[in-house]
Amino acid sequence: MTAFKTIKGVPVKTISGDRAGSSFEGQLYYDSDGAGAFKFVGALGAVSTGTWASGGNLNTSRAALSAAGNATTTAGLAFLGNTGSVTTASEEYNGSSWTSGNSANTARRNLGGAGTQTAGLAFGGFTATANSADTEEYDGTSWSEQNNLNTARRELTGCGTQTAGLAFGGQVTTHSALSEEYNGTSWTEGNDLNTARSEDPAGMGIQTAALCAGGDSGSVSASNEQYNGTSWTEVGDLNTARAVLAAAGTTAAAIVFGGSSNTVNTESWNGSSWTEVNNLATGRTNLAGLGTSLNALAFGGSPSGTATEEFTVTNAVKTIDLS
Amino acid sequence: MAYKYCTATNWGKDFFTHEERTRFHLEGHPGNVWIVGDNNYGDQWISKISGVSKTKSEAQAIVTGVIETAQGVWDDNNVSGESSDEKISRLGSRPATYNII
Repeated sequence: MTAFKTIKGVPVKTISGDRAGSSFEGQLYYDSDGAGAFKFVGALGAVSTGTWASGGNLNTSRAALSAAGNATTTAGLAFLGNTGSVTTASEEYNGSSWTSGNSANTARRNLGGAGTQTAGLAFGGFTATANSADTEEYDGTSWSEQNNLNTARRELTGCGTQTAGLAFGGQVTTHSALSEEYNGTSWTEGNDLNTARSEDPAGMGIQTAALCAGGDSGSVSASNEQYNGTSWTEVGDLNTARAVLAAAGTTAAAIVFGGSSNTVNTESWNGSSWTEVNNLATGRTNLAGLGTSLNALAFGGSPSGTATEEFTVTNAVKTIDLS
Repeated sequence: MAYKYCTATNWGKDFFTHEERTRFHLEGHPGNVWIVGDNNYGDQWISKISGVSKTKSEAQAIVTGVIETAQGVWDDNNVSGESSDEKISRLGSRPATYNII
């Protein structure tokens, strides 16, 4: 038998525990845990294999916050929310810890968010006394005032980027179906949602391909709608109706998590239907989320406050039977 | 499924890992209460996080106590002339007690 070292020029590494990250894909190693076993790191697993692990805690405990970071969990932005009173606090995540950044200008909660850590967008919400139409942009360092939403409202959601954002749903004097598009300068009214809804439905995707799931339309809703840049169309409902939930991903692949009744429930969207996947460890409502369907962050909310969880789909690790 | 109960403060990153989540049941509740699947991996995690063991009734009492405190704060937070719907809109729903598994 030819030794592995003869073929590859290096011996098989001995390490402890599974090494399932994408950087290990295609590698053979010896896992010294327990009785020991040779293992091979295969291709990325199905979303159903994803799990939630703890991430770094927020510095400011809060609920009803918003977030930006639509592509990665190693560069996230959390902003504003409710600490018992409305806050302007803003924090950046680097994949392991949150660092406080410069504060936004207008304190509010239950607002919408979009963009990235270096190009974030905050809009709408509720100040200590009233619905807000206020829009602010974050450039990675500081927040600046921009043109307002056309309709002030709270409990809305959003998605997209700082130069192509989308705001939808919310509470004006009752549940709202309003949808507005942001071009980096100003907001323009678009076609309404089919179902008016408030209580922070989940927003996913980009300005020309978005999802709006859950919320409250008179009762807690499972309704899910897809936007194509022009109009909203009903698509597959959530399995579990809920409001004040969070989400990450696109119209092709997304996850939603948490929400009403402090649920731990997590569902995955494949472009046509939702499937139950592994749950959060800590149930919560009024949380925020960011990332993708395969690498997402859940953070803040009530009652968890500061807790962050990281959803990760890892590579399949196969034990090699040498018997 | 059998469970163990403990309290521990979530320190953040690596308090529980993806690998641990595949090996035992884990739930976090108010009051830093954790419900942990009763197997060797769960025991190892409780040791790792220096969890303080509780009986189920002790854990339930901690969770209920934290929620009842939050209920009191919610009950005392009133604005003159505000309707119950307006209060819920302002504060969210009144925290509700529940039974842990």
